[in-house]
Amino acid sequence: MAMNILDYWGLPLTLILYGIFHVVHRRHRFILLHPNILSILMLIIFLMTTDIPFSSYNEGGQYITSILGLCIVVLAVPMFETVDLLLKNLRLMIVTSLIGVYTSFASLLFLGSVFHLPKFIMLSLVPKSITTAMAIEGINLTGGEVSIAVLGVMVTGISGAIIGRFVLTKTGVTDPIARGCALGMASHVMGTSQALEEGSITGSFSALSIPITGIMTILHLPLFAYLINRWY
Amino acid sequence: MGIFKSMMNIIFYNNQMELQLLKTRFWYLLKRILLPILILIIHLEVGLHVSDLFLPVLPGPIIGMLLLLFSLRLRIVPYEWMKDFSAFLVRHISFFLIPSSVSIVVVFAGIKGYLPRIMSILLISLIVVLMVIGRIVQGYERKADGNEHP
Repeated sequence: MAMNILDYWGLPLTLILYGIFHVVHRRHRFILLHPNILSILMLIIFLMTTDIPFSSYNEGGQYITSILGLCIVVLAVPMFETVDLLLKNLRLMIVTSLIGVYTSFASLLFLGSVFHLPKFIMLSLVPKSITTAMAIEGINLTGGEVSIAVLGVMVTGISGAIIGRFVLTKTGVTDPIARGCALGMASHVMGTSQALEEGSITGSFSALSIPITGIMTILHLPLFAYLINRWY
Repeated sequence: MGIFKSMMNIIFYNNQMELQLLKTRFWYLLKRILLPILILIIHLEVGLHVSDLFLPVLPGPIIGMLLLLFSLRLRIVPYEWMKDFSAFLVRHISFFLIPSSVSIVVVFAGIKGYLPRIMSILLISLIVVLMVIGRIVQGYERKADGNEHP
């Protein structure tokens, strides 16, 4: 079988779409116009309407995914910029993120059994409050489906960015550190982009809680997967 | 002859300038882009091997991230080398997630009926987590403030 350079059309198409929507996003700063979301929607609609199989797109797309490991390693640099603040508040951050991880899992388990979700969706939704890149790496530990995990992470992120501040205000949370931690731990990067608009303390605590929550969640993933497999 | 000489001068001068520019650009490229990529790849590879050999609980890239954090903290890798490239990569990190997200078309038919339930579960769970963490941290902060200023 001769390899044709046109087989890799997924790579340039994704680049072009992302570039276009990046320019659009720069003009209109609205959360649903995020270039990521728009490109994903366009590609999904394109693949579904033309009946092109995903494997054909992934011929080129897999090269984009293969850089994901480097993208996680590079997260150490923003973490390094805030490491002094982290070490100063280490106990608060670790205890809070543990509480957040367990609350998230408990609510997921309870609601899942109320709504009768199948097991493979539950396993995929466990890492829903961490950065998408970390969730993709961690999902191998639970045996869930990568795409459902990404869906869960993105829905959590976007809805957290839209309603997060409103919910916190309604609950009576006024402390900037508390608002930052809640936004960062519940809806990762999208929440942080909202937290940054409230001020530098809220924003930095929100940014701080993203990697902590990610590592804590990933450390708990085998346990959570075992619990779901055993009891759910 | 004077014109020819000055023309040659201009050309020669310009070539020197361009050579200099090319050299600086080359070093800039090497220092700001290739060096960070090399450092990232080294940390990622070490992380993957450590994950394979000793620590299957943590995925390799996460170990690589922690290793890079230590290297930056211990000044094995200077922060100045990494900062521009990392800012660029972090800003466009969502681009690298697009193919994984598009793969939902493979399972879409299977989960179509569950979508409203998935959405409502995610929403309720999000609100619960937000409320719990917000209240707990606020209580902790108020207690800490009370201890500092009795």
